[in-house]
Order: sequence, then C-alpha cells, then structure tokens
Amino acid sequence: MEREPNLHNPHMTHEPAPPIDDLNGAFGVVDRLRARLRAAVKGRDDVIELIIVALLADGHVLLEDYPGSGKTTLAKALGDSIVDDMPDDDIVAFRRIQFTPDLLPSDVTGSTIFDPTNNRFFFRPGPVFSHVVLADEINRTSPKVQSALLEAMGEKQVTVDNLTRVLDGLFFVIATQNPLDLQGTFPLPSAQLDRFLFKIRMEHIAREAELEVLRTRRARADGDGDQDRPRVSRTEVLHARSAVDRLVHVADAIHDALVLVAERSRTQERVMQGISTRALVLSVPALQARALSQTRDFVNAEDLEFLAPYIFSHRLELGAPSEQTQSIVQDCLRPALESLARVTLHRI
Amino acid sequence: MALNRIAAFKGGRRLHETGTGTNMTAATYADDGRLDHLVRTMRVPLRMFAAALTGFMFTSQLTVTSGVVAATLGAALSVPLAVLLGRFADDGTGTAVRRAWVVACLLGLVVLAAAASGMWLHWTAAASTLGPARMLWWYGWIRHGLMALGAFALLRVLALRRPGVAVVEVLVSMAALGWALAAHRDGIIARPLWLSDWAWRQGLEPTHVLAAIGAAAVIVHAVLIVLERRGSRPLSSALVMTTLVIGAVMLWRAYAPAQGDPLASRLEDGLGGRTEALGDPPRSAPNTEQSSDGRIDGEPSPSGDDAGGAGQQHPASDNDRGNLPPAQMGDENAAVGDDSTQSQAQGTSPNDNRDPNGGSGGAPNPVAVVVLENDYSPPSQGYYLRQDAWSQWNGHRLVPAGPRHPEADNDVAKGFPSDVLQVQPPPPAPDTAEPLRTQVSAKVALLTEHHAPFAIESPVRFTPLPNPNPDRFKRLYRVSSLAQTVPYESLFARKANEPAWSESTRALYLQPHPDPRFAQLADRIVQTLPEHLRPQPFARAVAIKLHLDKSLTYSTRERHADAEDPTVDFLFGNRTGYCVHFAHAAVFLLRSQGIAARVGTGYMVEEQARKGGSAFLVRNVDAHAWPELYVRDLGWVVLDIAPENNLDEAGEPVDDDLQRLLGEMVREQVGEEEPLEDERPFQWPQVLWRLLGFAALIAALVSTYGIKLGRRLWPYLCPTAQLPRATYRAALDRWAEYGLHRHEGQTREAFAAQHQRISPAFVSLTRWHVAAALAAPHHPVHTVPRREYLKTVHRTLRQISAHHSPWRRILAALHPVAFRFAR
Repeated sequence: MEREPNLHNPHMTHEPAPPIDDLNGAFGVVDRLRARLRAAVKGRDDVIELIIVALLADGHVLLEDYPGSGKTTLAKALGDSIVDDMPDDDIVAFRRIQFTPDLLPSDVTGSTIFDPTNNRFFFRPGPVFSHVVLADEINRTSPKVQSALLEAMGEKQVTVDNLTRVLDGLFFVIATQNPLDLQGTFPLPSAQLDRFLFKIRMEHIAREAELEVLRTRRARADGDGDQDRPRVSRTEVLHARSAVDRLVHVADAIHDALVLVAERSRTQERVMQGISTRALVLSVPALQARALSQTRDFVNAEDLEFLAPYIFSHRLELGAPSEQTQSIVQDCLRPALESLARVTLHRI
Repeated sequence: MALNRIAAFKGGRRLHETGTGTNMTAATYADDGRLDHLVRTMRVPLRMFAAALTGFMFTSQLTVTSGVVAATLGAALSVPLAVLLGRFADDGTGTAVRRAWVVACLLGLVVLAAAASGMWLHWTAAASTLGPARMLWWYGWIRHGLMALGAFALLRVLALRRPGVAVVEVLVSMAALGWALAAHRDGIIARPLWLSDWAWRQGLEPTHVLAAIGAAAVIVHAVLIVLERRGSRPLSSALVMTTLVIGAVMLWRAYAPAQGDPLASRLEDGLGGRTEALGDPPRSAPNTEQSSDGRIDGEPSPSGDDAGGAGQQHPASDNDRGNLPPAQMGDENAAVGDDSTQSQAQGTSPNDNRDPNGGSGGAPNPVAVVVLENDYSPPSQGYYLRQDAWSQWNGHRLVPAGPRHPEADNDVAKGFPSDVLQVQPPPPAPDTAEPLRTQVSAKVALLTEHHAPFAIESPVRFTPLPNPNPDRFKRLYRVSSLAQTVPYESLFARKANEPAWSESTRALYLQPHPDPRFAQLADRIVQTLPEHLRPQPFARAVAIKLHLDKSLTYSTRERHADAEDPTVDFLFGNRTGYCVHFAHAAVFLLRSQGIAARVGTGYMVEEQARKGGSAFLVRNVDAHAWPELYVRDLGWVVLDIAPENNLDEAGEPVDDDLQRLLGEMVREQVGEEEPLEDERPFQWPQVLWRLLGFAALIAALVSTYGIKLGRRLWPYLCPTAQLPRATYRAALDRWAEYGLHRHEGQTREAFAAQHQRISPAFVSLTRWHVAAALAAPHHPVHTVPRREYLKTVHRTLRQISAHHSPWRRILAALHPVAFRFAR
C-alpha cells in the first residue's frame, strides 16, 4: 500500500525534503500547514488546529456548519498545501463532492466505463481518489451513497465491480452538514458518525477576523499570498504521521484516564450507548498529534481536555435527544482529569 | 471555540465573586451619594462601637472590671478582625474551604478561651506567684476578652457571607440589653455599679442609662443593616424594622413597671416601710474602688428577701457604703440604715441617716462568725467590729475621709487584702502602769460578701486565710487587734486629741456642725458637770453621752429622710431615731467641745451573745454605727449611746446551735497553715483528661507544623528522582496557604496558566512536574539539575508571597494544615 515517492519526477517544483524521522521534522509539517491555512482562512484557528491534528492522526473530520462559513476555502487550502509528489498515479490533491439526494454511489467511488475505441472497460476514478476530499452536505444524500463514502473512509479502499481499489494513504475527508436545515435530509446514524474522528461545530468567527476577511478579499482572490508559503509533500505528511505515532509518548496514566472516561460515559444515566473502544483507540493518535502541535513529545491532560469534546460527543447515544452531549462529556472527563492530575503528584 | 469557552468561564467567575458579601455591598453602594459614602467609611467604626457596647452589656453582669474591659475591647476588635478574615475568605478562588476554615478557627478560639480560662483558675502555681487579683485580671482577659473576640468575629464573618446573619447580630445586641435590664429589674441595683452610681448621681434611673446604651447598640446594628441592604433586600429591612419595633416594646415593658412600682412610691414618701439601701448623695468621699467590688458595704445579706437588707432593692442605691446595717444598741435591736440618700436620687438631698431595718421585721440572718483566739471582755460589754469610719463633714453628713486627708482613718482596711495587711495601730501607751490595750486575735469567717474586712477595734493586722469551706463561707481572715482593756473610769484624767496630728487632720476630726445649737447644747450639758470635772475632755464626753442616753428615743421608723439636715432634724426635732442619728449627734456635740470624734461603722455584738464560748455570730441586724472619740495615748475609743427609750420591739435572740456549729466549723476546718490542696483530693481523672487534651492539642499542632515544614524542606533533601514532585508540592502548599488550589477536574497546566500573572515561574515548575510524570523516560526533563529546580521553586514561592499583603503572608505562614488543601 505504501508507495515509494518518485524523487526524480520532472513535475516536482522543488527539491524534495529529506525524509522525516523525528518530531522536529513532524512539527515542521504542522507548522507549514498551519501557516498556510491561517493565511487562507481567517478567524478559524481552532478549526485549523483540529484539522491538522486529524490529518496527522489519520482521521476524518465532520464540520457542522452553516453555508458560507469557509469550509470549502479551508478544505481547498488544505488540498493546495499538500504537494503531490507522486503525480503519476491518478490521485489528485483535492476534490469536492456536493451531495444531493440523487447522487449515486458510483459518483463518489468512480465507475467502470466502456471505451469504444479500445473496446474495453476501464475504471474512471471517483472523487475519493484524492488526498483531500470535501464532502459537502453529506446528510443530503441517500444512505447508500453515504455508506459508499464511509466505507472508503473506514477502509481506505473502494470496491467497484467486485474489484477493490486502494485509496491513497493520505486520504482525508472533510465532511460538512448543516445542522439547521434538516428538511429532506438523511441524518448520519451513529455507527457512521463513528467513522469521523472529530465532529466540529463551528461558530461564527470573531469580528476582527471577519473584518480581516473583508480586507484581504482581493489579495486572497488573486491567490498571491499563498505562493510564497512553503507547502508540505504528501510523503512528508505520511512520515510525520508515523513519527508522531512512534515518538510521542503516551503514558499509562493517559490510557487509564481514557478508559475512565469511557467507563463514566457508559454508566451515565442519560447515555444509552457510551464511548466505544474504537473511539478510544482512535483517540490515541489524535492525542499524540495534538501534543505534537503543542510542541510537546508526550501527551498530557490538557490534550485530553482539549480533544475530548470533539472526539467523544458525537459518539454518545443519548436516551433523550438533547444538546447536552458537551456537558455529558465534560462530566465524564472531570474525574479522569482529576485522577490524572493526582497521579502526577503521587506517583512518579 | 476554546476561546469562547474560556471567556464564558471567566464571566462566570466574575459573577460568582460579586455574589459574595463584601463585594456585593460595595457594588450596591457604588452608584449613590453621600450617605452611602458615609456608611461605607463609617461602618467599621460604627460596628466596633455597637459590638463594644454589646460586649459591655453582656459581661457587665457577669464579671469584674477587667473582664468587662476585656470583653468590650474584644468585641470592638472583632469587627476589624472579621473584615480582614472576610477578605481572606473571599479573596482568590478557594472560597468555601477557606471560609469553613476561618469559621472553624473562630469557633475554636471561643472554645479554647472557655477551656483555657477554666484551667487557668485552677492553676495553683500561677495563683501563688501572681496572687488572686492578678489571676482574676488575667482570667477576665482570657475568658471574656477572647471569647468576645471570637464569638463576635464569628458572627461578623458569617454576616459578611450571608447578610441574614446580620439580623442575628441585632438579636444578640438585644439579648445583651435584655440581659442587663433583667438584672436590674424591679429596681435592683446590679453591675456595673460605677455606671449605676454615676447615673444615680446625675439623677437618672440606671435602667434608663442601660437601656440607652443597649438601644444604641441595637440601633446602630440595625441601621447599618438597613443602609447596607438599601434597595436590594426589602425583606431583611422589614425584618430589621420588625425587630426594632419588638425591641422598643420590650424596652418599654422593661422599665415601665419600675415607675409604677409601689416600692418606689413608698420610698418617695420617705417612709421606712421597707428598708433599703439608698443611694448616696454625691460625696466627696472617694471610695470608688469599692464600687467595683460591687458590694454594699456592711450589707448584711446579699439576698433580696432580707428586710434589713441593704442594697439591693432600689435603683437608688449606691454601691459603696450602702446602708449601714442595723445595729443592736443596748438591749434593743436597732437598725441603722447608714448612709445614703433617699429615694429621690437627686443627690442633693442631704439627709444622711437612713432607715432602719429592724422595725419592719426581717429575719436576722447571720453574716459572719467570729472566733476569738484570746479571751477578751471589752469594757463596753460589746464587741465593736469596725469596718469603716466616717470623719469628714460633707455638708450633710459624715463620710469617710477623702484623699485630701491621707493620714486620717488609716486604721480601717479599705478592701480585702491578698496578703498580710498592716493598718495603723493605735498609739503606744507611754506609761507602763497599767496596760491600756491587749493583743486580741480572732478569726472571722464571712457568710456573705462584704466589701472590706471588719475587726474588733482597734485592728493592727489582717491576714487572709484559705477558705476551708467555700460552699458555706465567702471568706476567712484573721485579724489581730489591740483591744481596749482599760475601763472607762480610768480615762477621765486623759487628754483628748493627738498632738502629732497635722493641722488638716486635726481640722478634719474637729470640724463642727455649722449649726450653733450643737455648741449651745453641748455647753449646756457640760454646765451640769461638777466644776472640777469640766476641764476634763473625757468627762465632758461622758456627760454628753449620758445626756443623750436619757433624752433620745430609739426607733427605726424615724428616718428623717426628708429633712434638709437629718442630724439637726433629729436632735432638735423629735429626738427619735436610730444609731446613725445618735452617732452623728454625739460626734457633733463632742466636736463642739474640742474633742476629736468620728463615727465608726460596722457591727456590734454584745459580749453576752457568745454565751461563754469563744465564737459569736454576727447577724445583719447587728449592723451599727457609733461615736468614737480620740483619747491621747490610747487612740480611738468607742463611746456608744444607749438610749433609754426604745420604740422597736426586741429582736430575735441568737440561735445558739447555729453559733456553736459555725464556730466549730471555723475552728476545726481552718487548719490555717495547711495548704489548700490537701483538703481537696487530687482528682486524677480530671487532671489526666486535661493533660491528655493538652497533649493531644500540642501533638496536633507540632505534627501539622512539622508536616508543613517538612514538605517545604523536602526539595532540598529528596532524591533527584523525586525533585519534580517535591518542588511542585512545595509550590502547591504555598498556593494553598493563600487559599488557592486547583479545582476538581482542572488540569495542572490550566491551574498554572490561571495564576501565571502571579507566578510565571510556577508555569515552568508545572511543566517539569507534568513532563516528569507523563513523558517518556528519556525525556530531557529528567536531566534538569537540582539547582534549577530549587531556583525555580524558590522563585515561585517568592512570587506567590510577594503578590499578597504582609498580613496575608503572616496568616499563610501560620496556616497549620494548608497542605491538606494542596491538590
């Protein structure tokens, strides 16, 4: 599945960076991505942070947002920031899928098409064959299409005509849904929500950031500013992922705390279905990536505190539908954080 | 998103803080005018004032002057203390814990003060070094001062947190007022006597003065509550107003009946239907120290049911020389109200002699037992137990000599000594032909409180003795006297007056009555003497006595209370009165003849009362006043008047059995030199418990401070591996000393960030500490040198302390269990 980068590719615009094998290099990836995304999208620093963390943790992101809030800009900027250093394959940097009710699974995965000239069928890849996919308004399409995408997200592969095709290792989905306009939608079931590492509810950006957006409108439309900022290559991202996984230390106390959070969530009265083990497993790379983004080589309580609402709140099945998942997560989190804090004082 | 969360969190905090007591009141004031400014600046002094008054009202009934002063001061100081503690409890973040801590400390202070003062009184080692007076002084400060400080501060701290508690403060003030008024109900005079005296002399009813003081405290408290809560708490205002109204009604009820009291009206009539101690008119006499003692002197019985009873009945009375107790004269049971003014309390009213008690018939109660240690029969056939002497003319009557006559009347004791007290002995007899006086010593056991000891005249030495039976005897002392043995007949040739007297003393003792009729009467009496006897002063004195014996009539009903000058009214009026009148009349007649004379007061018990035994009982009806004249080389000699006519019925005879029994008790149990401790078995369990309690307390204190110190010093001593924990814990302890600690569920990093402004160094300490716990084993944090750790922790501690005021630093240093709150 891992393909060697073609280092002598004539399409390369710059010298390939040396392979990343330590956290400094990995943080360089974070730093460059952060700089580029912040330049492209104003006032979304928290979302940018989460997206970078998800990228490094090999997870996907569900943005709950209203139209016109910069999702596409963000996803596009992310795609632009990643240089495809293997241009020979059919994988492109960025694709966007606008989900509609009449969309078909093959519109997402790609389909087999007959070529009359060659008299042969050939596979035309769908939008999922890209590094960064923006799945817009994912809840507007039918469950069939949703599950096609979600299979791709979960397995990093698609099966078309009984032929399984592997997606790129970087494959990163940013899905959005509009939480307000629910008419004619197909809300994602919780099993499918589970495929997303983070569910991020975006808020309106701050006034200063909004003014900044207006001021820099023309410059950004020209796209000048982005050219100078260094990008990262697909390979660097993959290397950074592996470096984070190997080198950011996760203490046993953190594991204990994670399990404690899950236990608490399962015993909460308001919760029908608590945090799954898979969620815990997924959360560890996220915590590691977050630690790296904070220039730290170990996971601490702050990482857990910061990420827990994004990782866990969409995975809880509540007895009565309510908007209280955030507070429930906080309730579950508090004893875990407390025990984690106490552990540091009493056991070294 | 995270930013928003933080902002919301801070907003919540701010809201919470403004919800607390002091800040809230401050916020309530913020927007308006001068009155609020006044309230804001004046409320601490005003509250101190009100608290001091409350403390005063509470303790004035309970304890002696030092205790009252201590309680007043303690109550006043509790207000600023509570303000400081309230600030301490509300400042910063860890609110609830610190308030609980403050409250517990104050409660502990109260309990500790109560316990410590109890133990203090039983600490015999201190008692023997300090003496009883000092012991009591300290006791007052420990018990009342500290308890008032703790209790009032506790209330105030709670009131700062929960404004409703301020109403409790008002109630406490009212309770103090009611307490004080209850003690003064029905015209009873209670403490503080100096206040009652002062009020009386000013022509005020003491209860009114007390009511005014207490009402001031209540009103100040209540008004402060209303002003501080203005506009914000109509309910509490209504509550306070209701309280005030109830208080006003109670006040009215408290003193209204006293005005309509039949007793009061009878007193105003000047009738002697009941005997009471009446207030003194203003006197030049200085015996103010007696007022603090609070006992009316010569007061025969402390209980109100005693008819002869002095002192307690009416507001009019005055403390120190309350009434002279009734006296027995000759065969008659006569009573003498001694001094004091009448009910009017104007103080301007002149009559000196007050009413008798015997006539109205109260049961005679024993007030003392005297056990003679030498056989002694006085030539006057009566034991004159002198307690005080009146020699100074104040325009109305004779009173004790004032401070301008320091050498006068030095043969009386002004109060109970704590050690052997020598008083001025009678002059030594120059001629050895026949002894004029003999050494007599006696033990006196007081059954009721007196303000000063009395002794068979003329006393030389008073020696306090341990009280063998505190349940029965109030006090025990030995008195050594040089008692007169020379018969009266042998005195005729002797001269009067003392040549060694200074001019002022001589003038004092010879000060005549301004009314010329005294001299005329005396001259007329002297004219009846045979020629050769007339130059002899003592012969003239005897002639006057005999004349008075014949011409006067004894009656305790005639009080001459309304007369401008009771002595004149008596002697040149119906010549009916009792011992005080007789004594005054005799003294003025003697003085007009150039014979130094004064009135002696105390008890007189006939010799035959002892029935051959060595003990005799002194009863309240034995209270007496008598004339004394000064015979050169002999000293003061009693020359009592024994009127032939008596309108009063005879008193009850002495209860022989009681006399014998009490005498036995004094004789046997007063193993005088035996130490007191031997009489009371050493009570092991109690002592053991106290010791254990003390030991536990000390151990607890030592261990907590030991732990505190140990945790502070551990970074210097611990193994390197423990440095991150030891240093961080030392810093956490310091935070906790200032009441700042991590919230439940708060991360260490967040806690450090929250207080980064106070201590930036703490952030790095936190980072090291967390990294040491959570990072990989090869993390560079494990190589941070000890020096760096110590430097950083030192800087952290300094930064934390520097951020707080000095008094907070002191409190923090003293906080014994802060480590308990370090999380």
